[in-house]
Amino acid sequence: MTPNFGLRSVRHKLFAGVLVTSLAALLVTGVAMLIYDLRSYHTAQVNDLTTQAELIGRASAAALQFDDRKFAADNLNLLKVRPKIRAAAIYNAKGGLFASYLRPGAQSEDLPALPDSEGVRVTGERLDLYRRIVGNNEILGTVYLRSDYEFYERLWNYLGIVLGVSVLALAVSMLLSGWLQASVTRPILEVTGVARHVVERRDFSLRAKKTTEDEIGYLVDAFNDMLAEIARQTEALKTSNQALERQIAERSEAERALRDSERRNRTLVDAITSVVWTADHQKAFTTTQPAWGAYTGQTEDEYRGAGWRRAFHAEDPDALESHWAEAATAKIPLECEARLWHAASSEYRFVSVRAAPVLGAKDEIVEWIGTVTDIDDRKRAEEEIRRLNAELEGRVRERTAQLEATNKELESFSYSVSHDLRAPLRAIDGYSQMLEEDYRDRLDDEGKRLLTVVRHESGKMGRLIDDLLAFSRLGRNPINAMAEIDMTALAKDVAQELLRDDTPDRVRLDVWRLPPAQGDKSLLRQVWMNLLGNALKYAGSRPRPEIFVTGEITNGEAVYRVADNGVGFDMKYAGKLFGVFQRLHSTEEFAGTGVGLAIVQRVVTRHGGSVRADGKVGEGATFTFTLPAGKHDG
Amino acid sequence: MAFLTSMERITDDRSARYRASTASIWIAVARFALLALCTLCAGASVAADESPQDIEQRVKAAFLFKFGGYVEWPERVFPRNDSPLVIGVAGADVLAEELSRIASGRTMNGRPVTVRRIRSGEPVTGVHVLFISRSEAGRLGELLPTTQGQPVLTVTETEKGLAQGSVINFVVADNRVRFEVSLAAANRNGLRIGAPLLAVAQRVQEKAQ
Repeated sequence: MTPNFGLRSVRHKLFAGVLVTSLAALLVTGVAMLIYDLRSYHTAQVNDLTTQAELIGRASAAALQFDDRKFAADNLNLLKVRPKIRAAAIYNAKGGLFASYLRPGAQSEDLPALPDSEGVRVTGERLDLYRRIVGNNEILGTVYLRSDYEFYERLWNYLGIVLGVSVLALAVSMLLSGWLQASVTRPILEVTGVARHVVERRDFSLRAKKTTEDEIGYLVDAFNDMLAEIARQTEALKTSNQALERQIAERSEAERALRDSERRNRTLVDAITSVVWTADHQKAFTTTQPAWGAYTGQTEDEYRGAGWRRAFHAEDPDALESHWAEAATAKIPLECEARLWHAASSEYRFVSVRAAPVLGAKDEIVEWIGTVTDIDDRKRAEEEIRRLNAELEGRVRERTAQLEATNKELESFSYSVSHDLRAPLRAIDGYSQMLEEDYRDRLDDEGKRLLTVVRHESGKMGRLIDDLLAFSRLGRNPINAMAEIDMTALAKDVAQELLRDDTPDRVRLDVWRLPPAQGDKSLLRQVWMNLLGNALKYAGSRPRPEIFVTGEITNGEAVYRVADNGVGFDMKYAGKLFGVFQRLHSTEEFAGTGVGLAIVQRVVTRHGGSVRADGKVGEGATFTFTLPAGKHDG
Repeated sequence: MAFLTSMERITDDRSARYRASTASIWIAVARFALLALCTLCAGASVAADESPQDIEQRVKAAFLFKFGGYVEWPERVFPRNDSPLVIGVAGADVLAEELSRIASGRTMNGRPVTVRRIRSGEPVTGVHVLFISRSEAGRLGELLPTTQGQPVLTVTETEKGLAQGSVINFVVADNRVRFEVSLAAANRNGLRIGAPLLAVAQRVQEKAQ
């Protein structure tokens, strides 16, 4: 690829040079020749006319002298052979027109009335010449010649020729310059191309081809030599670089290893927040222990020998000594805790003392290397946690006991209340029954009605008490029988029982295939009883009550749904549905004790499941509860 | 009209004396034109007095003077370079007078020109040009033979001048003074007539009749 230098390219410069030179030479030559030609034309024209005038003058001298106008006119008529001469005249010495001549076919030329002074005058395309006729030293008259002066015609012709020649010469010089530039620039372009390749690819093995034996050829040789030299230098540099790189790599490897080791050591030392110490085989400090000194504030004199004991809490050194003695006997590492004086905080702090015996060649203890690690903070934290835990446990136990007691009290209270309430209720029911049977005839209609109300209300109260008793029994007794239960059969059984009293086919109650569950059958029967009864109760007011019971296994749990198209409820009361005695409707609207859903929740919860209700006012409700799934699909 | 032109010729000859440098020539011409106008007026008045014959004589006088410029005499007739050219006039007083006036102070080919009157009976010697007027026609037979073979340019103005042996003979054609030349007579007299003169001659007679 040749770099594009545009108009700065050598090719263009050469081309332009040749063109400009040729043009300049042509112009100079053309102009010079033009000037020369026009001058010589003028001179020749003037000389020619002068000669002509002289000849005519001489020939006409006698005619003038002897007054022969005809002869003079004949003389002038000879000018017919000179078509360039437009007009001619001979004047006598007095200036009177003696004879005249007009070019044949020419329009009338107004000849001057009087001759002008001798000489030549150029007027546009006209040359006027006056020449005296002299004879015997006397002026005999004047010859006047008027000739075409084709100066401009000649000029234009000449310019045309110059232009034509210039164009031709330019064309030739363009061809020549093409050839010349090819012969000069091709080698240059070749060198340029190679240079570019070298620069782009850094390939110093490239060589320019030498095609000429001139300066460019020399340039090519020099360029190639230079490339070779550069290639050599580059190679040498590369080799030396590689050697250097290898050295650097080795060195940095060594440095890295050193740095790693150093870092490891430093990390190790840093990681050891403990005090490092050494003692001889008699457990005496013999060397300088800077870390010990810094922690305990003891001077070297103070801790030297067995002086280190004084840094420990007065109660601890004995235990430590005995531990150490055991370790020394067994030649095993020592580990025990003690309280050591900490100079910076001016208090005894718990430390973990560890020491390992360094054994000599004969398996004897040469010295001990040990550490003292401050574990005071950890110790205190552990202490605190232990204390808090103990406190918490105590409080939980206490509270549980209180709760249990209260609960028991409450339950037994409610049980006994329920139980105790039953006896008077039974009495009320029994006596009102007796009253109804024995005194029916004596009671008027109003009396009978009131009696019916009493019986109805007492029956309702009995049911309430039954429910309460069942509910409180649920809290007290554990679920004992966790059996596999066919929920489909159970739900259908309950539905059948509930629908027994209702008009056949009025209610649509579909029980789909349900997954089996693990649980207490009698309790779960209560769940179905309450949920289906509930649904029948709230959908019953609809012209066509519809209840769908569905179920599935989701995430290992059996899920059951009871959906109805009853009056529904507002979701903001959803939380209250499962409370005891919580009712969303008055007893007049829908009968019930307000305990049913509480029992459902308690049963399901005690089985480890959950229950929830979804609904909207006027659009029915859906109760969903989960239970542990049965072993196999029922 | 023809004579008027001749008059111009005469004054023209006179004006030729104002020979000057080229630069000053037209100053002279202008001055002369003024002068010529005056002399023309004067001349007209003179001409009014003069007869056409007089005018003819004047023109012939001018021609006589000019013939000298176109004729070559043998060298021997002029002893020196400035030997005068002698024009002899037989008869024709007006012409002789006019010729004297023209010739006075002028030269012809570097020679002064003198006019000599030839009385009847006088020998014709030492003249280069001899004019024999019509009035002297009777003496033609006497004068011409004496000059035959002599280097004398004989000029006559009779009808049969050339036949009688004269070299140049004046004739009048179309009211203009013209002349005819006999080359034979010239040869006989040892004279050479210039071609320009022959060219303007009305007739050139080559051989003797």
